[in-house]
Order: sequence, then C-alpha cells, then structure tokens
Amino acid sequence: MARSPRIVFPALALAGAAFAFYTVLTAQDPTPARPAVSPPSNPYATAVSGSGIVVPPSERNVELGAPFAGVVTSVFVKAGDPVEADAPLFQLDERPLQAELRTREAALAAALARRERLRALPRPEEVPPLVARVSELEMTLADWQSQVRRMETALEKNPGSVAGDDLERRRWQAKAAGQALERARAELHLTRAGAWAPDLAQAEAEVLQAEAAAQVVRTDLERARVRAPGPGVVLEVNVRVGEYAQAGGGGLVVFGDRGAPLVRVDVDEESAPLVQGRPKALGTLRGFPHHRFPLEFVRIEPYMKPKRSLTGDNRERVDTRVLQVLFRIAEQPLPVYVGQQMDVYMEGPDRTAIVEAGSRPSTGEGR
Amino acid sequence: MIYVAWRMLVGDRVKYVSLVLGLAFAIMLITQQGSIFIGIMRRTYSMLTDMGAVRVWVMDADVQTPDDVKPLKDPDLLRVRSVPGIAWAVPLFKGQGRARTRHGEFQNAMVLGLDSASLMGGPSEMLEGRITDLYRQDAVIVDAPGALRLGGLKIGDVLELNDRRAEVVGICRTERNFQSLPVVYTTYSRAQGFVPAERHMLSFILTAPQPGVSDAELARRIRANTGLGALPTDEFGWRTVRWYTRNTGIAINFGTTVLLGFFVGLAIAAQTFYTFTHENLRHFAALKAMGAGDGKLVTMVLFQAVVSGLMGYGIGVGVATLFGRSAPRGGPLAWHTPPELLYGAFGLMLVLVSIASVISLRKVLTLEPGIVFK
Repeated sequence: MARSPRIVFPALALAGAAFAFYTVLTAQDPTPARPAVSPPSNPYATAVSGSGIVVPPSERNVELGAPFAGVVTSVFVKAGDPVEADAPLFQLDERPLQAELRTREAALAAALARRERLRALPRPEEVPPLVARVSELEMTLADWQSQVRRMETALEKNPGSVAGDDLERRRWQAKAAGQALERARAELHLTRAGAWAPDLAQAEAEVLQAEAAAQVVRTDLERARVRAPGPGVVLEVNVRVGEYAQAGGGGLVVFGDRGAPLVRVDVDEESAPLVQGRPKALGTLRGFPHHRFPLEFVRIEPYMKPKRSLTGDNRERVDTRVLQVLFRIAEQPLPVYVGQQMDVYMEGPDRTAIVEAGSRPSTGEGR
Repeated sequence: MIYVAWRMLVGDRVKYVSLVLGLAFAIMLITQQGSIFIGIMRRTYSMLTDMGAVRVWVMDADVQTPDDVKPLKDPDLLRVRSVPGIAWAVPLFKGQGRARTRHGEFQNAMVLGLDSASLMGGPSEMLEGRITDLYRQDAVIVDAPGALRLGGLKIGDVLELNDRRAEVVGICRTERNFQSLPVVYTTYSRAQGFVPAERHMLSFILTAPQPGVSDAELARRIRANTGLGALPTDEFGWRTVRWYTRNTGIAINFGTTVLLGFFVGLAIAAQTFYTFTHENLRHFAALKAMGAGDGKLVTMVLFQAVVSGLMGYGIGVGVATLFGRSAPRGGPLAWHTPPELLYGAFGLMLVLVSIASVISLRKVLTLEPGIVFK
C-alpha cells in the first residue's frame, strides 16, 4: 500500500502518454471520398479545354414550318424515323384549296369555250341568208336598171312619152339598190371572214391566264403536304393532327441529316489563341470519362460568338465570347445524340511558355 | 545518488501526489484547451477536410475562407482545365438555402452542389444510402447532425428547398462546420434550384495535378495562367485559420485559457516543488555535509523535477485524450489533437519544471551544511 503511488504514478503516466500518442498518431483525417465517377482528365501534355455540343452533320438542325397557316390533317412521321428525300412529313388541310381549284378550273373551261367559239366562226347557218340577200339585192338592182333603160329608150324614140321626173326617180332607185347590194356583199364578206385575229389572241391569252390561276392553286395543294428536304432523320415532331399551324416560324418538325455527327466546341476567348492549326482532340461524355471519342478537325468558325450559358438562367449576363471549333466524331464508343454535351480536350501549345515569351523585353520598351 | 533523489521524491506520499497531480492538471488543461481551440479552428475549413481528394482549390483571388465566396464565371472552368499539368477540374457550388421539413420546421442549410457527372467532393462516409443515389431525381444527401436538426430525417423524407421538392436519399457523416449548419449535398445542376437565384454559380473549381506536378506548382500555374486564386488544400486551410485569428476573438479567448492553464500549472507545480525542496533541505544539507558537491545536488533536483514532470505529462495528456476520444467524431464537441500539440505540451512541461526547479535550486545551492546540526 505504501508503495502504491510510486508504482501507480509512473505506470499511469506511461499508460497515459502511450494512449495519447497512440490515439493522436493513428487518428487520421477522414479518408477522402472517391468520386462516384472520376472527372474527365486531360489526355495531352498541354491542352485547351472546351465544352462541346453534338450537332448533326449539316451543323444545324432543319426546323421545318408550314408554308401557310392551316389546320394539320395528317402527320406521317414520328420522332426518330429515318426518311428519304421528299418523303411527306405532314399535311395541311387542303379543302379550301380544292374548292378554289374547282372555281379556277371552271374559269379555265369558260375561257377555253370562248376561244373555241371564236375559232369556230363563221357559224355556217349565218351565211346562206346573207348570200340570199345579196342575190335578192342583185335582182332588185337589175330590175331598177332595166326600168331606167326602158324609160331612156322610150324617151329617145318619143320625147315626152315619159315624165322626166319619173325617170330621174328610177335612176336614184337604181343607185340606192346598188349601194344596198354593196352593203349586203360586205356583210357576207364579214361573216365569211370569221373571228378577228386580235379577238382570237385575246381569247388565247384569257385561256393562259385561267390555266395559270389554276396552276397556282395546284402548287399550293402540293405545298400543303410538307416534305423532307433530303434524306435524314426526324428529330422532333411538334405538331399534332388538328392543330392550327401558323405560317412562318419553324420547328413543327425538326429534321436532321444522317452521317457522322459533328461536335461544336466552345473555347473561352482567353484560350482562343491556343487553338492552332488543326488540333487533335478527344471528347468524353459527361459521366463516362474513360470512353474517349476521337475527333477529326473540321474547321474553326472565324466569327467569335457570345457565350451561350448552359445554366438555363436567362438573366445570366453574357460577358464573354467564345471561339467555336467544329470536329467530326470519328468513332462512337458510346451512342451519342444530337444536342448532347461533351467535354473536349484539344492538343495545344503551353500557355505559360507563350505568355512568358511575350513578356521578354525584346518585344518592346518596358515601362 | 539518483536513487536517493527518487526515494526523496516518493518518500512523502502527500507531497509526491500533489506535485504530480498539479503538473498533470496543468498539462491536461493545456492539452484540452489547445485541442478544443484547434478543433474549432478546423471547423472553419471543415469542407476542405471533407473533400480530401481535392488537391488544389481555385476561387476568386480575394476569397479568404470557404464560407465567404465570390462566384466565378462558367468559362473559368474551361480556362482552368486548359492549364498544363492539371489532371481534372470540376465545379463546386456552395450556397445557403432554407430547408423546410414536412412538419414545417425550417432551418438554414449549407447547399453543396457537386459536379453532376463525377460527384467529386461528395461525403466520404455514408451512414445510410449510397452517394450514387444523388443521380436520382430531386435527390439530396444530408449530414447526420443536420438530419437530426431537421426533425430526424430518414431516407425517403421530402424537404422543401427554395420552394422545390428535395428527396433525402442518404445520410452521411461529415466534419462539423463552423456554423453547425446542416449540410445538403446535391448535384451542381440541381443546386441552382435549391437556393435563391444567383447569376453565377461557380463557387469553387476543384482540381488535382497530374502525376509529377506538385500541388503548389499547379496552384502557381493556375494563378499565372488565369489570374484566379488557387491554393493547395492545406494552404487554403491555413489562410482560413489566419483570417479567423485576425478577424474573430476565438484565438485571443482560447489563448488566454491556455495561458491560464499554464500559469495555474506553473503556480501549483512551482509552489509544491518549492515546498517539497524546502522541506527536504535537511536531507540536502546532510548530503552536502557528507561531501556531495553542488553539481550532484543540482542533478538530483533536476531529476526530481523532470521525473515528476514526465509523470504529470503522461497522466495529463492521457486524461485529456481520453476526454477527447470519448467525444464522437462529427459530434458537437470540437476536438482535435494533432501530434504537434502533444510535442508542444511536452515543451511547456519542460519549461514549467525548469522554472519550478530554478526557484528551488537557489535554496539548495545557498544551503549551509551546518543546518543539519541545528
């Protein structure tokens, strides 16, 4: 008992110190969580990073609209359908056009009939009365002339046997009969000549006009059926049977063409000078860092655009511009879809080296 | 002679016990207060500790602490990714939102938006659920104390965050943060719905260097290439601690307590040791009379001081560590004992016992051997 503190204290002290050091030295910071998926990493020694969006081979989606306003009566495709060139996509209501077409076709028929009537002139029945009339007038003239002759002969033989006044009247009658005959002959000639050429030309022109007017409606009928501009894939169908499609504005059917998709990569303006030549590039899809998509350089857009923010907040101020570089996706280790985002690394020169090279005094007078 | 000194030390049990316990108490106080101080300071950068996989933090150049954030612009992420020597860079959103439970309780919460694809920076220890459940619709993961404060959340419970529905898919354990706010983990893209709208979301960019590039070198390159602020994780932690030391009273307040512990310990130890030496003067005188030189006596006194100091130290740090260890990690007690604190306490113990022995030595050295016969 008497010895106890002598032993107990050193023992306690040893135990305490050992415990303290053991606890402290073995205590560790929490093991860092491994990320669920490792983030995309830079595959090149020096690289420029960009965020890309997959676009169809023609670079832009084709947003098809209605050529004129109207109710949609049929939709022939659904999203994802492959279609050939000129395949019908949807149909606008064509009944008003059909009605209009019938009116126009009736007008054409009228114009044609008018022209045919002119061409058919003279009407055969009109000629014989005129011919008869001419014969009749010829006879009347001959009658008057013979009376005049007879009176003149009688007057020569026996002056005073005929009243001079009577003879004068018959002479005038004969002249009038001659004029009447002239007129009847002219009328017969006019009738026999048929339609006047300028009248015919006018009728001809009216036929052409009516034909053209009908053709306008037929073209509209053709346009009422919207067709694929080329072979490709229907990406979106935003129209349903019964909806009223407004003229102008696209997007009723979004159409993309086939082939290897492109990726349009945004490079921040501060990195833009580092995109040089035809850079090699690799892309990864979000969440799949180990599937690398080899990319073939297509071109650099020469005009830098304001950065379109992808946060979706439309109040976000655009305060930076981006260089857009187009690449073709050469291989697809995973399926990609138009509109998908892609992280892209482009091989590029060492920025530090360039910046530091520019700061050497040889470039200009120091301040 | 050493044996004589040892016998002298343990000869009087009462003095021996009070001497050792006095020293133990002083050391315990210093260690305990120091640990709590360090623990609280660590909470100021608990997020950095939680996200241990992140090696370099990129932020606005003037950010001082992880709690005071000036968001970056989205394209800055691309610029950082283009820095040579970087292995990866992912965005992190940090903001505050108000969480409301089904029962109507509400509570400010820290919302962390992790990179939607990699979930980098996610909690290291899941108590319930899996971190990959964050890929699910409306999913959030809440830390355990936060879940408790929000009315005992369980998996499948639904929270309202900024008028949006958020479904709890997991409970995790994290380091406590300084404000003890519940931590809500979600994905970067979803986080923007969970806090009132801000124009920029990119609070931090989390990065790591490629093999062969040091953290400090990567941070330097990022600073040089982008003009943004970039710090290795530990430096960012230190910057935070310095900021809190300068701008809050925590350091002064805890400093005085540690100092108080030191002085209390010094007073007890010096006084007990002095009394102890004083009462043993007769024995020293006898030794002197028997021909022991001053050197011998000094060695004896120092031996007694150091031995009692060592015992006090061992007991003190032992008790303090036991106390700290009984507190659960992530619990309300902010406790962290780094090895440096134990070394420091050892140094302080040496200082303490040397002061105590110096005071006592004067008496021994000026001792007249004659008093033995008085």
